[in-house]
Amino acid sequence: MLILLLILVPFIGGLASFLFGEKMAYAWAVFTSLLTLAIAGTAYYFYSQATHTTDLSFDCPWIESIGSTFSLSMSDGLSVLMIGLTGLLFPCVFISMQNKQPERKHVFYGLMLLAQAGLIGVFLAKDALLFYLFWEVALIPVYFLSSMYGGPNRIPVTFKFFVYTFVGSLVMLVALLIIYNHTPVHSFSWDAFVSVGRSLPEADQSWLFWMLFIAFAIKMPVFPFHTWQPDAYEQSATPVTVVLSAIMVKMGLFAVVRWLLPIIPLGSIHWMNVVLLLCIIGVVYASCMAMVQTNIKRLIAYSSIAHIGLMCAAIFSYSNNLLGVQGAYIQMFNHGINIMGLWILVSIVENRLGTQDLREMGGIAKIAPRFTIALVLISLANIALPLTNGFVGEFMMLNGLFNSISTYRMVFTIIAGLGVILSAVYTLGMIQKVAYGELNEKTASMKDLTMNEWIILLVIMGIILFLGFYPNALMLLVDTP
Amino acid sequence: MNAIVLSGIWGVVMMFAGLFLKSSKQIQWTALLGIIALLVVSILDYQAHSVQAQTYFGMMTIDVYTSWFSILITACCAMYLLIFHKDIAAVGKNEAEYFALIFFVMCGVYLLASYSNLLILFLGIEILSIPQYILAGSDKENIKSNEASLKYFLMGAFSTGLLLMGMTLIYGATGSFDITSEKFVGQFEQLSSMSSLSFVGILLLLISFGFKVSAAPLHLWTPDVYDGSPTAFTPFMATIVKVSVFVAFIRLFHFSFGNVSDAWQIAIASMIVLTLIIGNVTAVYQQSLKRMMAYSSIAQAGFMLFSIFAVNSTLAYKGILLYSVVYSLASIGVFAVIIKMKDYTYDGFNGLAKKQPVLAFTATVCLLSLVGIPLTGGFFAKYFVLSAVVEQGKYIWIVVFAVLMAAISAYYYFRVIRSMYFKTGEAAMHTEPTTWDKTLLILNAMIILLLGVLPSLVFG
Amino acid sequence: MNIYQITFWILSLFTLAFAIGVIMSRNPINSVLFLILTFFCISGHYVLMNAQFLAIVNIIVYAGAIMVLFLFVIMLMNLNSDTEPQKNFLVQFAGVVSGGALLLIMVAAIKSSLTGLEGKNIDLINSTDIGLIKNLGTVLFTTYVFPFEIASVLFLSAMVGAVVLGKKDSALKTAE
Repeated sequence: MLILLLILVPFIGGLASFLFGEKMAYAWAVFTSLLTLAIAGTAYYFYSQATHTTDLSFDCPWIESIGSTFSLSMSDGLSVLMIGLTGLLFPCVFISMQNKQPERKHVFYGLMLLAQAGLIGVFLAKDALLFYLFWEVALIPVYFLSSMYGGPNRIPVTFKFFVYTFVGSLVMLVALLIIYNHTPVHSFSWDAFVSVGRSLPEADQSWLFWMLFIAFAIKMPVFPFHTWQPDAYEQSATPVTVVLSAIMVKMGLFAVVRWLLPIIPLGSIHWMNVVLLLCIIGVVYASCMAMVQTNIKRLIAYSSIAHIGLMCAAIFSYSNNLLGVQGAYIQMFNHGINIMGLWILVSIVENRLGTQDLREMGGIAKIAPRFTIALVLISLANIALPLTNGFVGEFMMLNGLFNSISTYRMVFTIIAGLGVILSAVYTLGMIQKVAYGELNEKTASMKDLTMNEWIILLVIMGIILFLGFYPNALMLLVDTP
Repeated sequence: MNAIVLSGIWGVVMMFAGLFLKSSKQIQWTALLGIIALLVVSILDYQAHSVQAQTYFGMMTIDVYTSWFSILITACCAMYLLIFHKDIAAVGKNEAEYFALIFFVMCGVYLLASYSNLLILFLGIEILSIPQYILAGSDKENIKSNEASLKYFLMGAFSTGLLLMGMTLIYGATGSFDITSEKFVGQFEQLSSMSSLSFVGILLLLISFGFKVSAAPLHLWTPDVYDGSPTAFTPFMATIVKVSVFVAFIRLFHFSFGNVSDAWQIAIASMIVLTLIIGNVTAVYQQSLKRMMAYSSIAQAGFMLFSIFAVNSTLAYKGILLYSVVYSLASIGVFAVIIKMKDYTYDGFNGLAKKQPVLAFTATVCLLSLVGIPLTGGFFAKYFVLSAVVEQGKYIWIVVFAVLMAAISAYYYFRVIRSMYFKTGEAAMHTEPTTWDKTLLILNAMIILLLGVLPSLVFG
Repeated sequence: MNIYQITFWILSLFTLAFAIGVIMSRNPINSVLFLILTFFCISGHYVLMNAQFLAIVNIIVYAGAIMVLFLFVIMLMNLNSDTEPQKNFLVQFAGVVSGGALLLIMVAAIKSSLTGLEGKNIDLINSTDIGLIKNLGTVLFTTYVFPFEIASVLFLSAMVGAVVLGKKDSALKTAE
């Protein structure tokens, strides 16, 4: 039952937020998200101690006539990580927003909580139809959020994002239907899918692979399906961008791990080199794009594409020692934490300076030391410097890529390594443009972090350093395949 | 059976109500009473037939499936009348007659759901159509309404002609109108022994049905008729009438012509492709919401055609039931908002969410359902009809094509949501919604959401 | 060739000729008159098939009542060949092609369903006397009583419709 609460609490909390009205909205949202975090923490505890395992899965018949069950389960390290990330992210975002509240708060927080419910559902679903349902349901609140809050060009941009993902997911639905139709006793359960998917002939698998992969690739996004992303990140309100970039893109990676590789193994191996090529192109291309951006949000958006590209490549590396996949798992969590920290910093800069343009910034280090400390540390984690959380994952992913069964593994690894260097270039460039240099009339009045922001960033920095020093905390979770 | 009788009688009652009841309120209440009574009677019918099918006069076979469909369609009609009764009365002077015609149409609906004889099919389609020609033209002052009526009548008469000719040819081949009779069943047992007259007969019936459900390329009347008719009647024509023709369609083509599906499946497939393309792409270019909904109803018909296409699959029967209910409720919900507006263009909806949050919310739920977003009934409706085709294993590409078209449909449905929520404007109202209206609309939206979680509720 | 066959062919020839006349004549009044003639010929066919009642009803109702009414309406509307809208050539061409295709299919279907029947004389006079008024009545009130009754709903709705469309709205009257 515990696991059901993980979805129900934010869902009901979100609905309640609409009814409670504007006054209560903020407190209610923080309370609900903290409650969700507490439940996620309990679930993590149960999982790590391997007790109360019945609480970690939930099964009840849903639409019996077509063999679909309402089946949720927190059965592996990856879902624990993603639930932990989702649980952690929302309270952090909410608390960091205390100073600058959006208009019509109850709508904003209500939609955010609904999105959280949908996202948690995606990570827990063990039934293909249920998975699809949550996949779409998570999208709708985000669509409304991005369209209602954000830059002047937000409506068409968000719609582009919506149409991209909607097309992808519809095609995915057809693929799921086709696999479902092969199941001997018609069933949508993950186990049935895995056993039937494996037995499909390679020719079928190879086109089913693309039907599924395109949906996930659009979400991640992998080059060349990424064109919606920089615009959407730039135009959405920053708290929404956090959700988009820290969790929603992970949905794509998560779906590949859960719903593509085990179900369509032959197809995945068949197309491995193509996918790796796309990922690696994405890494280099996005890194180069990031270097020339003048808009800080676009810069981070491209950096996100580069990181995701590397994770996707690691997942598809099929290394003999599993290091690649495990590294990607760890990095999915860590990247979520880092990018959340970066976006919170961006939103602080954006709110205080009223601009997203890097050229109008500079010299903040002189007047806002706390801000600068946070910016530097989180950026370094983003580059994956040793002793930050990013390092272990990045190292394992490159290692995995190097040990890949692909014939072109050397080339891919070298180019991906280049991506890591490029990421240092653009991230350090960003720090320099934001924090150093001369103060100008805009930045001169910049106030340092307030207490609530400082606390949130301290939490994030704490996680970064803790996991940097003691990566085993995550390794234990992903070690058991 | 009782529902057929009662709907006919209540039509007459409504005519007398117009004679004796002076106040328009009373007439409306009589109509509402009638539809509730009809609902009760159809539930009783269902209980009577839930054990075994029964044949009446060798003309009608009422089984669980038909009587269950009758309940659902009556419930949709009840929802329609509850929401629209004031608007129907406001169309013109002859409100009692409008209600009478609606009850006559319901009589036709029941006939179409349960016929087992081609004669009844013909009579059902005619009883369904003739009142619609009148309702389309009931706004006599409006030249567009006149045009709609005349266009509908001429085209409808033509398609009836084709229907009759098709029946004649099939009669010539089989020697019987009774679709359960040995001669009839024997003729359509296998493709090789089928007479060439039957081929042409099936083709003509297909064309005629395609016309009635506005499948392309026989859809040309639809936009003008739906757009020109008074807004109070458009949802009735686009939903209840259309889906009952679908049930008649599926009944004949699955039960009787199911074994010879090779003869007509390719025709349906091309109809589906054309309908989806024309419906969706043309809807994108519309500026008026009412006209957009007309094209959307063509596009949705394309999806419903999938249930005809997937021969003898239980998923298809379930799909058409669910699709009928969900599509009807969603369209009724959208039209209920449209009719409250002064300006039917997209710009007329700008800022509705601020001014009338309830209307905007219910319209959004209905539109999401029409797109087929999960958690709304529309998702499962599309799911069932599409999976029926996937299950069949042939023509998978058409399913992929259909979902791409569904993505196009997202464009024009979401455009309304965009206008309501993200744009600022005045959203001038024609009539202010009462609390009663809002309650009904919320109920409607809740049913759609409920069916999005538990679609099995409509399978009976 | 016996007398029945000769009559059949002559009647068919005339039916087709008049039917073509209906659509070919520019003047609507001529069209209606041709249509009446067509109905007469069809009634002739009914007589050949021993369905006298149908033949009479066809003449009285269609040719007599409805068509005369039509004639009046057309005369009142004062239509003539000048007011006939000109269709563009492409539409006409498409119409001819699709109509021709349908005709081809129908002819082919009928032709192929006749294979095996060549050489046999098709008996124009069926021995059945179902078309006689007494038998017709019996069948109508026994086997087909349900459609017969249901048709009343159809006619009722058509009647109501005619009244709704034809009646002048009283409010308008007083306003004028």
